Amino acid sequence: MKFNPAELTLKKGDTVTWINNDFTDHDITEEKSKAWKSPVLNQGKRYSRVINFSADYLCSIHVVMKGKLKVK
Amino acid sequence: MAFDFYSFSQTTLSDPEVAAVAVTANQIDIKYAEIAKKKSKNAEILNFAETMAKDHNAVIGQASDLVKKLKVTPKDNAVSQKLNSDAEQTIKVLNAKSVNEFDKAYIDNEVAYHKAVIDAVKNLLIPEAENLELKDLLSNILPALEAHLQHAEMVQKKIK
Repeated sequence: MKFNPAELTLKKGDTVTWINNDFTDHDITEEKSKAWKSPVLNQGKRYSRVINFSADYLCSIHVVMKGKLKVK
Repeated sequence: MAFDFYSFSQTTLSDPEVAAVAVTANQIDIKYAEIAKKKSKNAEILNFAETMAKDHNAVIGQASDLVKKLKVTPKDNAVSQKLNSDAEQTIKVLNAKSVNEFDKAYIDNEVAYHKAVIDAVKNLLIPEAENLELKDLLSNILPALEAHLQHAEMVQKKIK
């Protein structure tokens, strides 16, 4: 269970779309202050977000599943 | 308390028997999770148990869809029976624990159980499975089991 890629470098204002290709539910939650959180995503569902700041995030259901967004 | 896989390392299993072991292993962790949801007051344990119940139900769903597609009936066998008999003992132990003792007993068991199931999937079920779709399903659930183990170990460190 991993975010792929685990680290993504992007420009401020880029849109990131996560797609759940797993058979279990996941979500995307900003890690440090829970500033943003997706709905629970079933298999095949996707979530998009405009990213303006670097952020570490995780799946709040599977808290060992983590990713990083690096805004250049 | 965890299942001793190594006593079955030389066992041969047919595909219906592999399917039965896979379903049984998942059903057992759901039972453990249901006990935790009733007995624990710890937020991390409750979150972990909820995840175990949902994920292992999802695996059973995948396995059920596949056996229907392949027209295979899961067949009870010595491995699935041993899993169940060991689980009955573990369930008795967990149910008898006091509120203060339960969280540690539950999470210690989850770490041991997931290690044993990962071993069994890698070293018994996948090698014994003949049908390629069954092999693939078992391979596909390994990352979930490994994430569960990491999560259990993380919670275990926090529970004294």
